[in-house]
Amino acid sequence: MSNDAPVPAAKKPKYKPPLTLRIFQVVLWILVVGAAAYMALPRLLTPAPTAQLGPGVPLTAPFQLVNQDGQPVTEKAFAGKAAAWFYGFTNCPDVCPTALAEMATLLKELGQDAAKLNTVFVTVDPERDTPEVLKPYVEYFDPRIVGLTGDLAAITSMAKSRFVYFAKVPQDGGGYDMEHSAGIFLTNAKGEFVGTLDPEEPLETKLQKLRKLTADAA
Amino acid sequence: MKKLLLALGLLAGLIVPASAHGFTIGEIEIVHPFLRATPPKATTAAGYMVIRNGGSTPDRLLRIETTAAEKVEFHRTVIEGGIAKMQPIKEGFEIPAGDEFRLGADGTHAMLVGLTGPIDLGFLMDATLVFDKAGALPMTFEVEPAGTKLEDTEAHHE
Repeated sequence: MSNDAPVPAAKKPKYKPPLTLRIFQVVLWILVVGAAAYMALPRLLTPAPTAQLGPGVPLTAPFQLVNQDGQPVTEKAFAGKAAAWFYGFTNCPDVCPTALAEMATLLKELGQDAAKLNTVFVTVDPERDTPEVLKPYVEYFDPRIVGLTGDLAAITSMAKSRFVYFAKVPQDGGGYDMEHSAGIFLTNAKGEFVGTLDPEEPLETKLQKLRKLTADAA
Repeated sequence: MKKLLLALGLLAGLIVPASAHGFTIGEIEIVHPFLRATPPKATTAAGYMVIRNGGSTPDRLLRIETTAAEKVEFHRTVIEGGIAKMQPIKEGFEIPAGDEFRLGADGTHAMLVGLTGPIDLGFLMDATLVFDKAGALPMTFEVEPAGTKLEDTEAHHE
């Protein structure tokens, strides 16, 4: 019987299992807390995502460019007013004239509200698009459209700071084409990104977006 | 007076309504080929048209020749991930048998590079379309306002 067993021997087997159990319990708890921490910490430690375009992101980084009249222009010229920013180049036969002709139509549709909107065409091909080239081009579509050009470094940093992509693509004949962000970027009076006009969407949708943009600005 | 009437009659016969703007060679029919008006000093322009093939074998538009530009290239503009890119199309465009090809659909266009003069409204640009089977077709592009799309012109040319 159990009474026959020597006391120390009997006590030890009685104490040992709980001890290992307790150790096991402690180890288990450490594992549980560790796992929870492992899952929760990265979210606490990783900094908030940066450099991603979304509504409310300020597109107000400083720049120094020139307009179609060759006059220096900085970001301050567009401060305090909603704006539609288009990036393209004058040697582009298809997408850019479509977008600019549509912009001209949209400005006419907006009527008086068009005055609440800056429309800006930034060339991504400043090597060919000098102010002399840019002026007749943008003004042909609508004299209210401001054309911006400058040296390549200034254009590059301006585009980069506004999440705009462009690249030169050499062509077989020796010339080159530019590939570039196709959307028109909309900013509010604070210079914050609010959305884009997409080339594929109907004119009516674009008009509604601009109506809202200029109404919000009022 | 008779002479004037005669002249007017002749003129009326010469003035072809826009809906009739088209050209035919063999089984190939071209419907309203047009260029977009360009800003002054522009060096490039784009051309569009519908090409119908009434025959039972496919044909191919190989190239467009004109003295109004240094060269005419075929391109397709694609927008991938918000980026507009231009793909050169060297092999020309197939015109399926008993069907049509719409130059202007899916980003396709003929790009005039190195314009020798402005493309203004009212300008008629002479050119020759060269087809693989149907051969060379002398024709004329009309000019539509800048930004005109192929589908804009189709409604009133059908």
